[in-house]
Amino acid sequence: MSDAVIGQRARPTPTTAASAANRRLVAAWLFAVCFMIWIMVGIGGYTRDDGAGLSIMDWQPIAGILPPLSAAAWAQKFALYQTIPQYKLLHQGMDLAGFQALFWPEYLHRLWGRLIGFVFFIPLVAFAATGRIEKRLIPWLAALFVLGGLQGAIGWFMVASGFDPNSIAVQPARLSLHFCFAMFLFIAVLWTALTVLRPRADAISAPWLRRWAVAAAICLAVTMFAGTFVSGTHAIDVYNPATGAGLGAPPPDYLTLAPWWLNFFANKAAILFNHQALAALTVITILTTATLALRGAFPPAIRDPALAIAALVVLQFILGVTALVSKLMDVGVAHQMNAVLLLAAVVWLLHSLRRAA
Amino acid sequence: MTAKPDRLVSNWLLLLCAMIFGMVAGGGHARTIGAGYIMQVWQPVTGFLPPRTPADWTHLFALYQQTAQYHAHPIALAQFKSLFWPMFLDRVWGRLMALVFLIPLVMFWRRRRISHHLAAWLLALFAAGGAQAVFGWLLVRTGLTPGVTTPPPQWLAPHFLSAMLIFAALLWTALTVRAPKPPPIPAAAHLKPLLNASIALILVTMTLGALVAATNAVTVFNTFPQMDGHWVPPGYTALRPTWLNFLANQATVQFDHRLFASLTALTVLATAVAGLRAPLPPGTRDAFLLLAGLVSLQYLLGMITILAGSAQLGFIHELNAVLLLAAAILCRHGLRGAARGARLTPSLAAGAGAKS
Repeated sequence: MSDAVIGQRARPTPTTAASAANRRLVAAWLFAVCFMIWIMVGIGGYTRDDGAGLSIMDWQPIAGILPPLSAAAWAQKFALYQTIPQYKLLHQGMDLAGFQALFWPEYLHRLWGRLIGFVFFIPLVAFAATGRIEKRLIPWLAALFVLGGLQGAIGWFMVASGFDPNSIAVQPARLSLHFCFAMFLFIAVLWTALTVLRPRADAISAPWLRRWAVAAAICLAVTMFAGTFVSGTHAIDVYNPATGAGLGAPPPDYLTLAPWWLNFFANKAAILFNHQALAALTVITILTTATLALRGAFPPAIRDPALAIAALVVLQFILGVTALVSKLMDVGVAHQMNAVLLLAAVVWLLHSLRRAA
Repeated sequence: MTAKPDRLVSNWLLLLCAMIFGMVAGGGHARTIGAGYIMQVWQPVTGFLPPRTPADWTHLFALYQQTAQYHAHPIALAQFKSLFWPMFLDRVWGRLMALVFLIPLVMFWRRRRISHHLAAWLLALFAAGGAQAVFGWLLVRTGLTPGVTTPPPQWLAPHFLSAMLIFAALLWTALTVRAPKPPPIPAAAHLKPLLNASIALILVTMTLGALVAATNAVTVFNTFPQMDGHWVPPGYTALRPTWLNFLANQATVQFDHRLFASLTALTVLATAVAGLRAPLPPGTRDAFLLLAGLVSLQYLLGMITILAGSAQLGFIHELNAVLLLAAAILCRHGLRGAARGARLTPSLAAGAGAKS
């Protein structure tokens, strides 16, 4: 309302980057990119859990847009796949249809990545040319675009590790790098979108709440990092429904590997326990943050993200337990996607609590 | 009903609510260990006295030996005694409640501290408590029916539901005595139907939970979210006639409880979110926080109970359900004065936040 009143009096040119309409437009575009990254996490998680990540043995950033279009092209791709250890160890004798079932998720993951590139780049150029984006944002967004390309390269770096002798999956460390970098890009785009939408921080004096929110963000980040190794090593294999081992209690073989820190990244029992212990800590921290925020007299800009983190962290805990005990792949993917939503809500809260300039 | 807040009377009624909670704990424990049929005697007044002589024990044991449960699983006197005490304690607790209810009621009434209207209402609740005891005794008497070895679900579930209704009525009365005049809350009328639905769903889910306990359905389908790989268990309508499945078929009873628990959790969470987004007074807002926390805990407890297949965890789950119901009633009571009206706009709210 107030923007419209000011607009009538001052009559700025409609292409001013600071105009409310342009800020909303740019923010909507960046939110759309965030949404696409979220979908990307879903496709990537599905690809990983389905064991389909090694089905394309090359990386052709441009030519790879097209899938195999002829029987000969399929035969060539399949022949290439038959040379890698995963085929020999896991899928010996697989037919072409079986290969195609592995191929499509990985192909879709890569295609979606290219699509994100287009959806990021083309509006960026258009908005920059028409003066709808603030000048100081352009180098930052251009840098994010380059880093998005780097994420594609990291993805290939990860996939390449799955072709090592005797390997049937990618290296967990590289999978973790790929996911963490995706989350870095997600946070960067989301924070930028929120700042474009609300350029000025509200004058809220609640340093204690900010400290809690920062602690919640750190706990969540560490838990998600630990979660990438649960996925990377398929640590849920440790869970035994008959004995309940792997749910809650620390495993007896917690520190069997040497040096000790290797257990955190290569010992399935330790990885699974660490993720659960960190998750419990994160639930407590986030619920405390949300309760403190909801009991204070704060404006909706803080109350709403506080509600979102509380609801999403409870859902996340339930999804996590469910993913473990059911071993249903789809629940695992939902758990991973909900983690990104939870992260987005925590970033939203932090953004609402940022210091006024 | 008096218009002035009366903390003493309110505290007395809240103490009775706490005692009902204790009764649920005692009854739930007795059921969990399988002691429901152990006391085949009801002496409303002299039942205060525990058995003392060996002759007393022989008499009580002989009465229990008439039950079908004993014939199916004969036990020795020592085991009979260990099962007897929890059940005895539960009944003594019930008599104690009657005294804690009746004596202060008469005193408050004689001193005009409570109105005739309130006294009549409380007497009706006292009578409901008495009816609950009679129903409980009839439930225990089903143990003499040939072939009935555990308390039947069609008896246990109404016994539990009526206890919860008395609990809810007493809690509401206690809160009203404490704050007779509802504080006006603008722009919160939309929360009332949400809370009504939440309370109704909580009661339905609790009743279905009593059926799970009565049929010992916690021992089957110890997986989540699916039931041994099925979303709807096979044999959902295996029993004839069909309606019997909803009472006595473990698969059906557990599925129904799971389904309604999920519906209830979603409804209650949505209600809590709506409440926390509305401009409520601090006390009511905290009740909504409590509601959100307890319903989340309740769902997790339910999940873990079914995974572990543990009746003991189910007992904790049952107690938390009573707390959840109490939180929902607390929220609903805080909203008596909720009216339609202008919502607090974000800019107004932001101004209020900046000032504080």
